[in-house]
Amino acid sequence: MSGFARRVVMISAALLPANVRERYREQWLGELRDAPELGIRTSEIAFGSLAFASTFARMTPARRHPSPETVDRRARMSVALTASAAVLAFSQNASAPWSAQTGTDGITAAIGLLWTAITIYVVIAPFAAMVTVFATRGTNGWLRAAVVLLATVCALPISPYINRISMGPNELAYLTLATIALPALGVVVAMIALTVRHRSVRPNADMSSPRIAARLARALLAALVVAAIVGAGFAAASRLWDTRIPLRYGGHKPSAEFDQWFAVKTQVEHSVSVTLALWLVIGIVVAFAVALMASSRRGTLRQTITLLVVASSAVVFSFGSLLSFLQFVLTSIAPSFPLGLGTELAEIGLVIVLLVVASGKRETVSSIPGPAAGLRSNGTRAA
Amino acid sequence: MESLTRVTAATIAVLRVLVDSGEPCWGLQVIKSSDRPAGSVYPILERLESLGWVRSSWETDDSRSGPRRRYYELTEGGAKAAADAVRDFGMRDARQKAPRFVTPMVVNP
Repeated sequence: MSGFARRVVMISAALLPANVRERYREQWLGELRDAPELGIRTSEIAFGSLAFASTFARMTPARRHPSPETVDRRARMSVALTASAAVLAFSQNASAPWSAQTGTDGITAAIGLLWTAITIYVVIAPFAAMVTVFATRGTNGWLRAAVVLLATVCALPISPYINRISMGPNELAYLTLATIALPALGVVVAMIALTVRHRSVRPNADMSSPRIAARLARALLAALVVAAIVGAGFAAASRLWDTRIPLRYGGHKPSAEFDQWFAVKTQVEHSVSVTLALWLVIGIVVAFAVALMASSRRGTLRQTITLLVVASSAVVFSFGSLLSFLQFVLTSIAPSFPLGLGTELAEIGLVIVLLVVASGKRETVSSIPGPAAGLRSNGTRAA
Repeated sequence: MESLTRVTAATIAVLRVLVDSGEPCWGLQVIKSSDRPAGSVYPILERLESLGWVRSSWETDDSRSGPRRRYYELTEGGAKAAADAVRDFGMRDARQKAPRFVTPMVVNP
């Protein structure tokens, strides 16, 4: 038995799951020993073991027929990948005004690199998610459709650029029907994340469910928090777009530039009205959904808080992006910075929570009998 | 026992060795008799075992020192299914290899 072949076999065995590692190590070491007797080269056994180890995961029954827990975990991961990609795709578009104002070569180059990385993620993540949900047996059809929808949403940020072609010089590409897709994304993200997270929690027979009064109180509190966030944002946007409030541009007196933005404001009045109405509807739907989940017998306090963070982040991000952009164009960078920063934090929070929600333990492979008894670590049999 | 969804020539070669031997074979013997590389035989044996066609066990001979041999044999259901698969594959293979008759062209003088 050559030392090289033995080392390859040991490496191959080490690549296998723990519960089958010892079995194959002993089997391959035995065949290495006897291979010359049958006229077979030991290198063939060694590389055969390596080929086997590299494809073992695809052959296990757990892979072909994943358990419900595995299907749920993959579903959560797929939703998280596509939703985070969609969020990043929109943020890439919405943060364009600030990047143009930096003026520093280093920062511009760093932003360019960051955008390249985000673009790669936005392309790869939805594709990987779609492959996962369609390749996993037992995935619900609605979930597959939702992932495809989210993947399609990832391509929506290009629509303002397409619309811009037919626009006049004073019109804003952001304030079009494509912009309304932005808050709609928030709803899609929040609702799917909520639903998938809720479905993944199975009722535990040993766990005593909280009393109905406690559940209702929790639901009411959760709904109030969401309503407060949505209401605050809505009030700020309504005030900003109230035509009775005089415009101010950087604190300076009216100028030709001021007149230009005033014209823009007048032109987009209807689009913003539709957006604000959509905002209200979305706020009500999300608050109701969070309350419904929080009042569920299956729900835990930790789960409720997670759902609350996801829903709030989605709403704040989706409308905050628009609002901060509008503040930027109507006033100046400085006043819009706090809201822009808050929006970015909400975006990061949403991406992190989405990916954390998707985390879960992998199940162990147990298709093959356990390790061989009475075998020493060097592959020889114990006395 | 689950059905075999993907039947390749290598799978049939391994099944044929197990059917013809009529007794448990150890892995190296299957590699030698099937004339297939170890990189093909190991995954096939694992797939057949996980589907319930084959079961494996350690050798019981204590006279040999060192690592034990792993023996493979067809299960009861696997033996019948394997024989059918080998026969069907052989018939299909024979049909594909059979010469095709072409209608002779008549040439008028």
